[in-house]
Amino acid sequence: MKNYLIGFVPVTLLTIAVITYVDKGNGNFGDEKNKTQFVQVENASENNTQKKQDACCKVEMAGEHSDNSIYQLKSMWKDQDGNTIKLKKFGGKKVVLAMIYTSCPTACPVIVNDMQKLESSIPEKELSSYHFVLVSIDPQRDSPAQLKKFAGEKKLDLQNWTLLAGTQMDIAELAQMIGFRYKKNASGNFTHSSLITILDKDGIIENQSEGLNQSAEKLIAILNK
Amino acid sequence: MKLRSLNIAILIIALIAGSLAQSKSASKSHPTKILISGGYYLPLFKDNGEPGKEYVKSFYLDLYMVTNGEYLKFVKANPQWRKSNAKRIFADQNYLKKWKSDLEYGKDVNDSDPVCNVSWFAANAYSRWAGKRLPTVAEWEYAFSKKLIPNEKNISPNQNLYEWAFDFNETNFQASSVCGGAGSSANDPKNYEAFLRFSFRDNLKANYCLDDLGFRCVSDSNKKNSEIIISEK
Repeated sequence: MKNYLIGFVPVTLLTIAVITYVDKGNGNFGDEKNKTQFVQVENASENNTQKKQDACCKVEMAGEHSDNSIYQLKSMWKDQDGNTIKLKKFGGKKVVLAMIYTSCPTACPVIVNDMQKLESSIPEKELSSYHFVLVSIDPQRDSPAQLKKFAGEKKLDLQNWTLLAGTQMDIAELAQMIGFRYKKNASGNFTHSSLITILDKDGIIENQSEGLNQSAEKLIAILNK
Repeated sequence: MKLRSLNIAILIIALIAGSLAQSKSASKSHPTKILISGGYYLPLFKDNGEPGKEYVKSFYLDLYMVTNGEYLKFVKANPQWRKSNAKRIFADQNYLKKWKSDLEYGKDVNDSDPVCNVSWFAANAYSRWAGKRLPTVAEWEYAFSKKLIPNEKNISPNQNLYEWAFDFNETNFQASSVCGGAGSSANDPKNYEAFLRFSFRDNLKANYCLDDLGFRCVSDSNKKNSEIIISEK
């Protein structure tokens, strides 16, 4: 019996020690109230880069546009009719582009109105060498159908106008490229720049106008640099 | 005697169990990312005079910035991002400036150092390729200001760089974060490091490639099977 006790005590102590060790390793949540923030650590085990490659890099090696053309962006967009297009589709024309969202209560309708003023300042026979592009910054609310509805409300002539919906990433890349800034507020609306950008036939930024409710003269001036 | 043998056997089993537990822990001693639990983040700048708390959802933050070695794998797989191929609209003339050539760093650049002289477009493309994304400003500030990183020794001392954020110039773009008056619109006017970061970010353009600017990735947390959980200190 004595022998048994002598053997048993160290085993018990060791077992307790092992249990305590394992418990520490897994973290102690005894005092949850004081530890509202905690972090989990995940093991180094991810190497899923290969299969993700096709999802990356919409920026391809494109020889046809200059290095500073926004048509270097290979992102795919949906137009108001649901067709998938790349921005370079507008190449060859002078493009008047703005980033907006259709439920904007303030600035965006004025930007569209300014673009319409520009459109009406262009002689009819020259209109075919221009295109007007509105890119939505609100992928959650601006579906192609919503864009089409907006175009109808604003009486945009879809011969000369295209409205685009894209992913958050593609919108962000285009915005960075033209220097357009925007931030979504808690309400779901956006604080954003009021910017009209003129692209030349190759997709290079030729001119930009910042601000709202511009005079026709000033707008025409940005078209003719 | 029989009992003693039994005890020795139990002791051996206990020892083996202990060492197994230890080796299991050892194999997990090099985590690459941590889960930052969602919570409220107090931005540096107030929102129309209000503190403007923002909720940040849970996400995984990479413990390490992307290294030269990792970036080399990316440019090998994506020739359009090699030093001599990158278009200037995506990366200015300082892109990978310290690298000797398209697929070699040269002797002054270490494999394990964070890659620098990379643009926002390049950092985004890398992140997508790696199945991740860049952190938002809110995510980055939330994770680092709350010191949620469990063991700072895990982060290499060479990682002393500014870092790209997905929305680096979207915060507070109407009020100037750079001028002297910016302090009056801050939630914590004494947080000078944050002022430096915000002012730095605010002056960047997406194709800039700077010596002291690198990046790390984050990923969304939609799985709950992480293995080790560490409490905030």
